[in-house]
Amino acid sequence: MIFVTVGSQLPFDRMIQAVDEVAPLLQGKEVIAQVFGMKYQPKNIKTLDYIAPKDFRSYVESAELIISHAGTGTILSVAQLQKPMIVFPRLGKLKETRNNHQIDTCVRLEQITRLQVAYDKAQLEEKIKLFLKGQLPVMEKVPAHASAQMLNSIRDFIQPQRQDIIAVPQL
Amino acid sequence: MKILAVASGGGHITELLRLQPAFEDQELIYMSTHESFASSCKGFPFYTVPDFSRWNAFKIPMVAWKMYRLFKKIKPDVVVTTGAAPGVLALFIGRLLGSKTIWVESLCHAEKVSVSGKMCELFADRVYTQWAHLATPKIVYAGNIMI
Repeated sequence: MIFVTVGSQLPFDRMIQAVDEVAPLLQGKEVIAQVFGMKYQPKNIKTLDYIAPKDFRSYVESAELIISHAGTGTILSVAQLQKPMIVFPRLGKLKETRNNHQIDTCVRLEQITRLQVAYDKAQLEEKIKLFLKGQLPVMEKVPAHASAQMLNSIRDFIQPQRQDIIAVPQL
Repeated sequence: MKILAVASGGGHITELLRLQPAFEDQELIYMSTHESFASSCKGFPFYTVPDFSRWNAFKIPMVAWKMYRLFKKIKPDVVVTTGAAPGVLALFIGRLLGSKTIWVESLCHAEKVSVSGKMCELFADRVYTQWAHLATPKIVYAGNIMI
């Protein structure tokens, strides 16, 4: 099964349409898409309007490929499970989100991880062909928590080390 | 110490949950904008407040009042948030009531600090960015929530 998700906040018909049009390439594999406020009528894929967070994980777990908008929530959950994933960033100028932050994040993440990004339908088609050949790179496994540097910094800020505040009594 | 961790749905709460080890020895309480995230925060007290964004800002007084009453009850020592708009309000109310306040800018603001982040810079005790190139004397970079 191929799982497609647009996140829980805004519609993203351009991505759903791209997946729907590319779907015949997928050799009969079932495609299930979680959509939001969709006006487009898909022909080749099955859609669901809402998935509870606890069910979301089981869809991701049972999928062989995840195609998603470039939301950090999905990228992090999928990377933790080490699943093949293609992200399709929303464009600010098409009002798919309020600005180009998804594109910016993808460009930056591509530099530091193996995140697979399709910036348009042609690239989505290419990446899907790679996946069918078993050649789509999988993003690095991310740990379950934030980096130690970040956790330590927050911990220190919340509770500064005791010795800093113990005053030496003056005799 | 009582830590109140606040985030909207989706990526915001996913990022917030990844900070959990930083609060290990503290009393941790979560607050989000939808009941369905309670399952992600299992084992901790969980409160919901209505969601709003800058596009339906008329909801702010109502959400602020609900938050204020919850904050009076919870009495957090620290308020920490990964956004979005309700997180800004939570920090503001936290600050008014004397809590230490921490804004963690979301990973998805990779090219510039968000409007919310800039607002929090004005009153929060600590603002983090997750990208080294966005750090300033007032905005701290200390790694990210991903790797």
